[in-house]
Amino acid sequence: MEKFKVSVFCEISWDEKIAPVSFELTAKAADLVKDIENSEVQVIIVGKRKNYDSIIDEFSNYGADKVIIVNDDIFEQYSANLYRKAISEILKKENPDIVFFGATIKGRELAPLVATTLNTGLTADCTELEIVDKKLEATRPTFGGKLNATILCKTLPQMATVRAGVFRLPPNPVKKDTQVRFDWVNVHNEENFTKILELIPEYADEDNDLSKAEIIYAGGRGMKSKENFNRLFELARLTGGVVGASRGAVDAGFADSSMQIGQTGKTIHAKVYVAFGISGLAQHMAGINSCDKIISVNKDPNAPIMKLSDIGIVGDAEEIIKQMVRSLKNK
Amino acid sequence: MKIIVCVKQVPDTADIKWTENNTLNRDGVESVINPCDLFATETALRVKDRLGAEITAISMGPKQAESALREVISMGVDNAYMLTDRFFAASDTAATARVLAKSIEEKSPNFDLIFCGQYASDGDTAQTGPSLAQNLGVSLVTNVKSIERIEDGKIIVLKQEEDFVSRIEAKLPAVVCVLTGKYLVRMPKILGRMKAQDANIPVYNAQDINFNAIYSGLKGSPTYVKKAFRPKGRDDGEIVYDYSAKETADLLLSKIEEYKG
Repeated sequence: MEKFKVSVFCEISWDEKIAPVSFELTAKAADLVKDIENSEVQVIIVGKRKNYDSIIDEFSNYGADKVIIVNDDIFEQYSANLYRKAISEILKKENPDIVFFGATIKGRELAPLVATTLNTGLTADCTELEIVDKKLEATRPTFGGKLNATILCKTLPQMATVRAGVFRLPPNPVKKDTQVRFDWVNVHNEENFTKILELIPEYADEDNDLSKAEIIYAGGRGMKSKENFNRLFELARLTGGVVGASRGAVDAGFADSSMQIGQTGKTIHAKVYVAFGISGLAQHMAGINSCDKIISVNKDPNAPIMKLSDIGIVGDAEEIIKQMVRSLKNK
Repeated sequence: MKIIVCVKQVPDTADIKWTENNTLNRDGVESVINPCDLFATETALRVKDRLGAEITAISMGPKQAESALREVISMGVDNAYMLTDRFFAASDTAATARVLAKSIEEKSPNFDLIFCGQYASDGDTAQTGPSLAQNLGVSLVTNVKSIERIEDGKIIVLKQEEDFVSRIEAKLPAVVCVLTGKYLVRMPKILGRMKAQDANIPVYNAQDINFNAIYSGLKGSPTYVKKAFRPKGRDDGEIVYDYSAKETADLLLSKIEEYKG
């Protein structure tokens, strides 16, 4: 019987760190195949490093059966076409049943290039994955989060991308005895279509990291001013949360674009999301759907977010925030 | 310079409502140009303003999507064609990219740049642009915020990365996938509207572009939708009215404490 293989692309970020979604997908893959006989979870790494030991170790911890490394000086700088070539060649050799990429900016660029090269199908931004009769059933939100679609792929490999944080790392992963293989793909005759000229850091507030926050307070156009956002920051500081914003608030100049949540901004996975003066257009909801609990405060009882919240409060955001800060300070 | 812009007509997703029978009600839902595609069009027009260019817009879809092409012509696009065939219907992103690539090879092969929206507001897969680039065997840059310059057969762009911006140089011809931005998309002028009204917009089917239709549509697409369903809502959610600011603040603080566990 042929081995049932799931490949996971390991994304290495600019600062040489492994993108957490690569571990999340490895752990998810290990969980998906746990009842399938003669199965293998393999991680594909493309890069240029002296030493992969610690990376291999981490992937072992999350259940990788095999790590395949394509190491070449040429991969020091990311190039979509060269990475595409390397990954595609490994996949042709390995013939996996399923391939996962993180739906990061790099993953969303590479996955369709690889899928097209392999002449197979790809499902983007999945929020649920299942294997039924060895077929991948990938569910994703569509129409701005109004509809969920379960998508199957007729060709092999069946490919899918998943956003960071959709699948959380298991608290007690099963460590595997991981096999390591260094491989080589000749990409030197491929055209290097793109070149990175410069990396320009953006203002990023490390104390206000939306990706890992458990409590997020976000404001929309209904916040009315930048001063009210300052109050929101105070509220966040007092309760151990961070602050986000809707596109409306960013466009109005109340908040920095690094704080933007939604389809064009960040996707968040907080335990509690509190929306002040956000109407809840589909574009915004697409970014917050995987939060555990949603509370919204809005003047308009008919704002779309009200029906999509665990608790919808009809009221004035400014007044309520002021009162919350006051109550916390008087404690 | 020859530029192609890919334009998709999408339902205004804000208008789509669920019926009581758990089906999507698209009655009275307006069709609009996908927002990212408007920015892709604007980006192409800005290149034309600076360097001069002939811009061709392409849309694959049902015949009524022609109105989207007339709209971009009214903004300043030079010409356009539709790709319409019942065998194209229900194509996934892979099949759509195949049709687009073949039409470009047949009808407008000498392009320098193809501008696409980064993603469509209905499907939001962001796959068609990259897949198109791979089918054509040309450069690709995604998540593009702005074009800095075009010179010596290269385009230099600013790309939005996860937590920073990169400056990327790509060889022409290239597919450039454009994000929505904070700049304005131009409004059509009266002259443009008149030109759009009179514009001849050819409609090509599979045969016209020498495309073997078995590679498109539901049958030719590698993926298919097994089922579509309503996302788990927060139906047991409650709405609170008429609380004072004090009562609301207390409720919020206690709920946050409870939920964070």
